[in-house]
Amino acid sequence: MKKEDVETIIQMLQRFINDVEGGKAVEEAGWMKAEHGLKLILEKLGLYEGGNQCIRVSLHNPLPTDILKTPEGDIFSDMQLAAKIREIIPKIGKDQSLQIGAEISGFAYMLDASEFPVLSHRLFKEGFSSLDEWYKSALNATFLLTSMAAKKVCGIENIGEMFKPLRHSLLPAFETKKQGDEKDADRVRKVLKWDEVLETVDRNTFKIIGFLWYVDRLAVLEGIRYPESMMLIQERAWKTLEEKTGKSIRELRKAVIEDIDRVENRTIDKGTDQEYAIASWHEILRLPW
Amino acid sequence: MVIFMDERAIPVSWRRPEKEVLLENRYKYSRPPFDPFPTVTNLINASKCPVAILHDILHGVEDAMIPLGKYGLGTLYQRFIAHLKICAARNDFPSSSSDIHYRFETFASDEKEKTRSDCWRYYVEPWCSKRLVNLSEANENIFFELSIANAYVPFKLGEKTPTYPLRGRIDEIDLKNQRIIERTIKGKRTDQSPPPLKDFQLWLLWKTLSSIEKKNYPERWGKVNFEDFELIVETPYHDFVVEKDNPDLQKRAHVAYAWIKDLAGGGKSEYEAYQHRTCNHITTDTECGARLACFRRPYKHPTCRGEVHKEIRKFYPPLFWQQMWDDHLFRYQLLMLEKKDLGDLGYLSEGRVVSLKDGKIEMKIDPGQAAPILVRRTSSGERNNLLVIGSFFLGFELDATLEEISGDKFVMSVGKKKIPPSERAMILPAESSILRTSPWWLSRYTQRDLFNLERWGYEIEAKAKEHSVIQLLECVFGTKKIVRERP
Repeated sequence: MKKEDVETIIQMLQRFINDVEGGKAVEEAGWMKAEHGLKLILEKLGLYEGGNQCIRVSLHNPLPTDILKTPEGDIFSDMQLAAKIREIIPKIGKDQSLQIGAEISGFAYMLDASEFPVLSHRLFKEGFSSLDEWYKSALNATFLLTSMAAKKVCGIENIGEMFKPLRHSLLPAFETKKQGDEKDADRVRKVLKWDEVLETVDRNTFKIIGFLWYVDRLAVLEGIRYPESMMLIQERAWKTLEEKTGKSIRELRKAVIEDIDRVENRTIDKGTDQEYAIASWHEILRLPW
Repeated sequence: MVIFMDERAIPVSWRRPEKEVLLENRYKYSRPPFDPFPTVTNLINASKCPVAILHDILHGVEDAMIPLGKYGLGTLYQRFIAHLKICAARNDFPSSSSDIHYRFETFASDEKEKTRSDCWRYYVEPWCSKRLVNLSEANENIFFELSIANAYVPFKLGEKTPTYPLRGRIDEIDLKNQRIIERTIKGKRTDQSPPPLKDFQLWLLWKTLSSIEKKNYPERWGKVNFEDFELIVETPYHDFVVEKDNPDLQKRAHVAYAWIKDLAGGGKSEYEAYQHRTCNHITTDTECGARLACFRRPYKHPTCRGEVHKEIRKFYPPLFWQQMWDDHLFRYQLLMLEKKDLGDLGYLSEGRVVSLKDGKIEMKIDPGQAAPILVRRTSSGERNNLLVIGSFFLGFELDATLEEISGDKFVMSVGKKKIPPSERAMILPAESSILRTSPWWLSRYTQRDLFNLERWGYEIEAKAKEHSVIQLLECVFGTKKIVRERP
């Protein structure tokens, strides 16, 4: 590639990045007046995107290697990946069957990513002899815990069925094969007082955290590296939730935190001189961001 | 710079720990049921940029006001000027600029050559050229590095006056000339106004100071009225007077507290912080100390960076909660509990200063009061203590090493310091005491190291393939299979 062409494209990328970081919507970012020379360069490189007498570097086509090597090219290519996910999010939000599968999967991803910080005396009470044993069992219990949550909170009997629409749409879904020993899973349920937890958790909390964790999973699988790209995804996810619930991010966050506080208070163990929250619930049930 | 924020977010109602939490009747675990006890530095970070305070709280990135590569210079500069003024107050005036240079070289002889030469050339020399004559104003009533704290500092907002906790350290206070100085290495010869946020920093310190009740002053300062003090931001080139009655600063404080509360408690997250970021990849603030945390390029390798981030990020909030349980709660306890309660918790011993000579302080401590110090010494061999002269609200915090005990006389080594004329001495466990809590700053180091690990890597594949740590990460978090080589 000619040096001048690289510089021209970088300037256009800078415009895009600056616009996005300045708060412009992705759809409105990076547009420049359609000059003939610019248009030719973009077309030659297969990067042309035009509209309304303006042009910009296409969000959908891969950048040439010379440009990818530059810092601007690197960020832009990451934002291209984010833009792809941004298109998927509202589709999930609008399709009830995809949405339920995504929420349940997301809830399971959240549990999977937790270290399950629980007070040790509860583990020993249930016959766990070491923390290693607990971690292994807790991780294997994700499916059971999620199934129980989906049944109790959303009335869903068979969560495996709920993942099928996602798979048909070539979207990721929680791996149902990952089921551990049932007895172990049941001990985990008892340690966590999971039945009491589910009595407390609100349906909306389940849906919000599930949905956001699912979107987060999409970002991880796409290999998003820049926080700025991650923000583009988060923005779309929160907007989708705001539209669906009619509540602001602030209200949604607050409701989730208060719900988890209730879980923590409800599962407190009373010791002789101190009160103990049996688990650090804000590290288990939580928003991804 | 203006930071816009949802108006409903301020003023913020601040949750202080309840009595049972203060008395440690609740197990220190999970998300604390109180808000942080911020420092002035935290507020400055929050006011500079929401992403800076996000990095501060979650990633252990310290002071966004100190540009990279300038750590330590400001401290050396401040320490030397304090030394110079203390000498001048004792009629030991430097005769000329070259005399000051000689004294500086001696004073900073332990520092690296570059730190020493940079500090002299860019900061001390310009300072001297303007202020050598002013040294005659130095007097016995100038004090340096005064620690201040209050759990209820009022900040006006319209008709309301909410209160927040705040703590900090004053660079210099001159009781005779009634002024407080914030000394900085920032600023240029051509400046017409103080360096950004330095006026806010000084104003916050003054707000805290003037909110402290007189009964908590060192005994002989009872008649001092800090409300009347002049506020001066001192750069190497200029002195700038800060206006105290400034509604913009009040509003700025509320916004900063709102960010701290929300980011610490989960009411806001990186999404909201990035929406309000004050610079970006194209218009990067090159003076920002959090620049690398924000703009370091996340290279292609390790390829499992997303998984690494997914696994690591869950540790950031709990690590901050740990700091709140270990350090912030302790700060609340010092200010909100009765001394008897602090004694019962095994934290506090009270004594009376007898003398301070050659870096050694002699105190009289009743046997009943001395128990916590003795327990620490005998059970874990701890001789380090945190000594507070004055009060927890307004005093001097010194690291003190127990040297000698004879009857009720305790001698501790504190280094050559100038302390206020107070007889009250309070001895607390050192910050590193294993008998108090785990050292809180280790959680900060862990946050910082984890964050660095997340961002670190290589762009070139060939290099990454040969790097054992990257390969290990690919194994632990990615899909690479680890195979042990046969010898």
